[in-house]
Amino acid sequence: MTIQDDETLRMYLEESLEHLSDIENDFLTIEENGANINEDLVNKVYRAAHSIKGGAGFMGLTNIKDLTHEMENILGKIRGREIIPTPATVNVLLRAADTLKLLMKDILNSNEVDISAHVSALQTVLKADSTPNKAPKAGGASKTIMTKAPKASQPVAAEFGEDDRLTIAFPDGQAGLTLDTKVLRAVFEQGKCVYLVKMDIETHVHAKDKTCRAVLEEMEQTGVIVGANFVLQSISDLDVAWAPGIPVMVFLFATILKPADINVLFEIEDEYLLEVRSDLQLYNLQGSPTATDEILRDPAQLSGYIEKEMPDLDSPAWSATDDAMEEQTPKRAFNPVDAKSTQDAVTDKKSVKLEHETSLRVHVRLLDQLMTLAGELVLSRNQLLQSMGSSDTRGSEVAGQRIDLITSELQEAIMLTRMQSIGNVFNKFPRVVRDLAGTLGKQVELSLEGKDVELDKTIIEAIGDPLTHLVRNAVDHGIEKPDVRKKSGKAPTGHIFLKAYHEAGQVNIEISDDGKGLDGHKLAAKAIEKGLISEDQAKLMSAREKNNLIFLPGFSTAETVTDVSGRGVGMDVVKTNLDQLGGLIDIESVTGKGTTIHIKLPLTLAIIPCQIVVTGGERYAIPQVNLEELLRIPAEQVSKRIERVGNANVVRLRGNLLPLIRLTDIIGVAPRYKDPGTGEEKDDRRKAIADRRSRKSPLLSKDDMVENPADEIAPETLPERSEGRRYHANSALNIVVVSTGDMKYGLVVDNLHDSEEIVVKPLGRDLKKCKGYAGATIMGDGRVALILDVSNLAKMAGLSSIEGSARAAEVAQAEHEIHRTNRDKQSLLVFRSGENEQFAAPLGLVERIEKIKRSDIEHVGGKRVIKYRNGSLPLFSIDEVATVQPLSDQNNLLGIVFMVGGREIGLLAIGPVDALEANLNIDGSTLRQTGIMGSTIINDRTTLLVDIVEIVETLNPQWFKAPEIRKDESGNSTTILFAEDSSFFRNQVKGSMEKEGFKVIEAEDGIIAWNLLQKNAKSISLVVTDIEMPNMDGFALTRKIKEDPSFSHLPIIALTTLAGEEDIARGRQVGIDDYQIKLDRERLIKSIHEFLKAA
Amino acid sequence: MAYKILTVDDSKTIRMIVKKAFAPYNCDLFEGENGVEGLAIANKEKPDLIILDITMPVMTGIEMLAKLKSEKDLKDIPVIMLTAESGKENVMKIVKMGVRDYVVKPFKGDQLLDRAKAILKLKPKD
Repeated sequence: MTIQDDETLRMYLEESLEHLSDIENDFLTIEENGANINEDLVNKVYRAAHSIKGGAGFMGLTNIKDLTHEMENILGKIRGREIIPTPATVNVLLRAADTLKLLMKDILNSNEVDISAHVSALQTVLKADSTPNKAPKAGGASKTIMTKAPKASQPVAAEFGEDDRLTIAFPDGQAGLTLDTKVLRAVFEQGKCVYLVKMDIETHVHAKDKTCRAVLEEMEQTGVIVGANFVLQSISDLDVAWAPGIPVMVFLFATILKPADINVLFEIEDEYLLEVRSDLQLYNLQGSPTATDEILRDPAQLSGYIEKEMPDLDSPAWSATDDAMEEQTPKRAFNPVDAKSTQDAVTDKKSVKLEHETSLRVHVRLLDQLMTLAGELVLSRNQLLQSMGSSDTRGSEVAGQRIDLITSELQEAIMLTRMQSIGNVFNKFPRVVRDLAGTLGKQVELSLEGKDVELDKTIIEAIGDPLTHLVRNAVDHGIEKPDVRKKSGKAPTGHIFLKAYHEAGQVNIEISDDGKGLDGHKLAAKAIEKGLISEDQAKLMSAREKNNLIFLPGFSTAETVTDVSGRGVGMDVVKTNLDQLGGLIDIESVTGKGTTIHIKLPLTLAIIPCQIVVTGGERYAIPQVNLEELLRIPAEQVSKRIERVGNANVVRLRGNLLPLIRLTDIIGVAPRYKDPGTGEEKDDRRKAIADRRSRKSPLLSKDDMVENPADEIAPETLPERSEGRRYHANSALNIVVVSTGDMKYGLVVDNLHDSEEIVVKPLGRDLKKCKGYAGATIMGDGRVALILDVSNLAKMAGLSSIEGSARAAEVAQAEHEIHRTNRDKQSLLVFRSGENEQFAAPLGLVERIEKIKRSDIEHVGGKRVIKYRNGSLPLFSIDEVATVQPLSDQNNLLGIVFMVGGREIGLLAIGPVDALEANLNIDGSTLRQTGIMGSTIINDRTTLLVDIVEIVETLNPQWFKAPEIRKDESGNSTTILFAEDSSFFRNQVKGSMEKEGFKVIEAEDGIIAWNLLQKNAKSISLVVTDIEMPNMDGFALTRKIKEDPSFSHLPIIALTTLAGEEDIARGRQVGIDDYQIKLDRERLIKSIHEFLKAA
Repeated sequence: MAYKILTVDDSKTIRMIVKKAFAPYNCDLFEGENGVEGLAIANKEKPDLIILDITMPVMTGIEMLAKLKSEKDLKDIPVIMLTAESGKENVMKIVKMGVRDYVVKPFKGDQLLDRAKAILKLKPKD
C-alpha cells in the first residue's frame, strides 16, 4: 500500500523539514511557558510530530517514525498537562528533533542510524513523568460525559451481538465509539471505505453555516453511517486536549468516497478524519498508519481491560483506551509487519540519489503576476517580429521599449520568487543560544529584529553557517559568566542582539553583544606570536584594524579551544564565506562593553548592478557594491595628484592617499589608448604609471605642451596613465575607487562606460584558476565581459588589508615628509591693529572674535572693559605694550578673545581678518619686543606675531601667580629636556618654561636630546619634544626613551603644530604622554605641572 | 453466464485499457463513445456493469447517469464512474446520484478490476 516514489519522498522531506524548523522555536516557547501550557502551541507541535511520523510510517522510515512516535507521546502528555515541560524534558525533545533533522538529511540511510539512545531518553522522560500522575489522569478521564447516539445506528448494527464489540478511537484516545466488527466486515466486503470522523459542532458545523441535519443528510446521500457518538466534554476538564469546542460528534462512516475525496464532504481538518481499513487499523488520509496502531482493539482484550478499570461493561469504553495505550505504546513502537514491508521498499530505493530543497514555495499571486508578464512579453515579441518583418523602425522601437519594461518587471518578479525572509536563518538562533548558554553556564538573552527582511534563497542558505558561527562566538567568547558580569557591574544576563535591515539596496545584519569585547592589544599580540603580522605592523595598526585581525586565517582567540567555538572553523572562514557572497564584514568593539559585527550582503547574486570599464580594448564589469566612486583626473592635474610612495602609486583624494593599481598590470593585457587626434587605438607603451615624483618632469599644462611638443612623442615623460593624451581636452586618467572589506584602492582603467545590470554567469572550469575574476556576463552586443573580483585583484597586486595598513603607514610617512618640507605649518589668525601693520596670533589660542563698537567701550579704573556675556571683558591693544602703530580710531573694532591666565581677555584689533596656514619661518630677534614674539612673512608682508600672554602679563602682572618653583630633594630646580630644531620655538618655549622656574636643557634634534638625556640621566624629570626634527624625530626619540627601562618612567610631552588625530594616535602608540600645540604656552606649562605632580 | 460490461468513453485509449483489463475474464465487453451511444447500448444489452466516463461529447457521463437512474429498467445497473482528479465537485455529485464506485483517472487496469470484482463475481475465462 506504500506509494513510494521520489516525488512523494521529496514532498515528505520538504514538509517534514518545514515542520521541524518550526518545532524548535515552539519547543523553546513551550519551555518558557512552563506549566502554563499554551494549548494551541502544543497542539501545533504535536501535529507536526504526528504528521512527520505519519509520513515516515508510510515511507517505511522506521527510525524517524520511532523517534517521532516517542516525541508525540511526550507531547501528548504535555498537552494533557501530565508532564510539565521542564528544560530537561525540552532538552530531550530538542535533541530528538536534532536527530530527526540529521535523519532527514540522509533519509535513504536513516534506518541504519542508531537512535536507541534518543528513544530511550524519550521513554525515560515519559515513564518518569507519567507514572506518578496516572491516578488523577484516570479520574479525569472518567469525568467525560458521553452518550451514544441511537438515531444514527444502522439497522445492520442491531443484528450483531454484544460479543463482537470493538472500540475505535482517535489516537489521542479522545472521541471514539464502540461497534460491532461484523458491521465493518460487511461494509468492507462491498469495497467501501470506512472513515472515523470527528466533528466539532461548533467549528465544523455552525461556523461553516451548516446544520447537523444537513451534514447528516449529505452523509446519508453519499454513504452509510455505521456508528455514531455524541460527546459532551466539560470545558473545565483538564483533559480536554484537542480543540475545546463542544460538543463533538463522532461517526464511523462507510462510503465509496476515496480518502482523497472524502474531505469534500466534511470540509474539516485532516486530523479529524481517519480511515479504517479492513486490517482494522487506522490510517490517516495520506494513507499512513496513525500514531497508535492499537486503536482497534481485540474485543476480548479490551473487555478484560474495561472490566478492570470500569466495572460497567455496557458503557462504551473508549475513554479507557487512553490509559491502555499509554502503557502499551512505548513498547510497541511500530507495527512489525509494517516495518518489514517498508524496510524492503527503502532498500530498493537506496541507489536513488535524492536531492532535496529543489522546490520552492511561491505565492500564487506572484505566480499570476509572472504569468501576466510572460503573456505581455509574448505580445511584445509578436509586435517586434511583425515590425521587423515590415521594416517598421518606429514599431520596433516601441516594441523594444516595451520589452525593456516588461523584462525589468519580470526580473523583479522572478527575484521575488527567490526571496526568503531571513527569519529562516534567525529562527534557529534562540535554540543555539539557549543550548550554548546552558552548556557554558551563562545567562544569555537573544533579541531578534528584522526577521522579515528578505534575501535571495542562495544567500539565505549560505549565510546560515557564518551567522551561526558569529552567534556562537558571541555567546562563547563575548558574553561573560554571570559572576564575572556582576563584578564588572553588568546585569548577570548577557544580551545578544541580532538585527537585519535594508539599506541602500543591501541587507545589513548586525550581531551585537554586551560582553567583554575584543582586546585589540591581545589580538595584536596573538597575531604577532602566531607570526601573522610583524611587530612593526602591529604598532602602526589602528584599534579597528587590530580587531579585524580576528579574520586572519589561522587566528583563534579562545585561550583554550572549546568544543563550542574552537571547531577549526575560524573567523577567517566566516569572512571567506561572506566574501564569496559579495558581502562585507566589519567588527567594532569596545573592550569591556561589547562587540558589534556588521555584515553587509547583496540582495541577490544572480543579477547585479555593475560598472562597466574598458581596459586594453576589453570590457570588464565591477560590481556596484565594491564601487566607491569614479575619479577622473584631468590630464593637467595628473602630475599633481598622483604620487609615488616606494614603488607604489597613490592618488591624493580629499587629503587621503589611496593606493592605485593599474588593471592592465594585474591582468596582464597591454594598455591601449585612443589617439585623440586620429581616433585610432594604439598600444600604450608607457612603462611606469607616472613619474610625477621626478621633479624634472614638467608640470604639464596645455601651454606647456605647445612649448614643449617633444613631450607628446616621448612616452616615458607622459604623466600618469592618462589613456588619452594629456594635451587633449578629453584626455584624463580614469580611476575606479573600489573597496572590499577594509581595503580601498583605486583601479586605473582605460575608459569608463555606463553602469549596467548584468547577469552573472559562472566561469568555466578552465578559467576557475583565474583569480581576478568573479564570473562573466554577456553584454548587450552578445560579447562576453569578465566580472572583476576586486578583493582578489588587490591580493594579486600585493595589496592586502594588513599590507594595506603598512601602506597606510608609508603614506602617513609621506605625509610627514611633506609636512617636514613645509616645516612648522601653523594656523594663524591674521589681523591688524593700526592700518598698516599686520599682526598674527596662533589660531588655536583664539576663543572667539567679537565685533565691538568703540562707543561701547567703558573706561573703568584706568582699564578698558566692555559688557560681555553678563560680565566685563577687559580689553587691551597691542600698542599699550609694544611700539607699534596706535590702534586705528575707527568705530567698528574687533575684539579677539583669548584665554589667558584662566580668564578671557579681548585684544582690540581691526580687520581685515583672515585665517590661514602659514610656514612659520619665524624671525625671533629682528622685531622682537615686549608683546611681540617675532616676525614672519605672510602673504608677502612682514607680520608681527603677537605674544598675547606677554601683553597681558605686562599690563596685569597681578593676574599671574608667582611661579611655583619646583625643586627636587637636593634643592635644584626641576630639569626638563627640551628637543626642538627651530631656534625660534626653542627660545620661546624655553623662555616660558624657565619663567616657571624650570631648568631647561636644550637639544636641536632627537639624537642630541638622546645623548643629553644619557649624560644628565639623573636630573631630568620630564621631556618635551618637537615631532618633526632632523636626524631623529620626536616619535623615534620617544620610542627610544620608552624602550629604555631606565628612562621609560619619564613623561614625554610632544609639541606639535599638527595635532591631527592620526598623529596623536601614532604618538600614543610610541608612548607620547601628551600633545601640546607649540604656541599654547599656558597649556604646556599646565601639562608639565600636572605630569610632575603625578610623578 | 458471461457478464456484460459496458464501457462508455470518448477516448479510445481508455476503452482499450478497460478492454485489456477485463480480457482474461469471462465477460463480454461493449463500447460506447458518448452518453447517447452508451444509453442506447445499455437499453439494448442491459449490461451487468457500466464503466462510465464523465467528460464526453454529445452527452456527458453525468447526464447519462441521470438518465440511467431515471429509468426503471436501468437504475439498478451498477455504475463505476471514471473521474478526473481535479473534479472533486463532480465526485460529490455522482456519489450522491448513486454510482456504485468511482475510479480516479489516471488509473491502472488492475485498480478498475479490483473495483469491478467487489461488484461482480468475475471468473477467469476457461
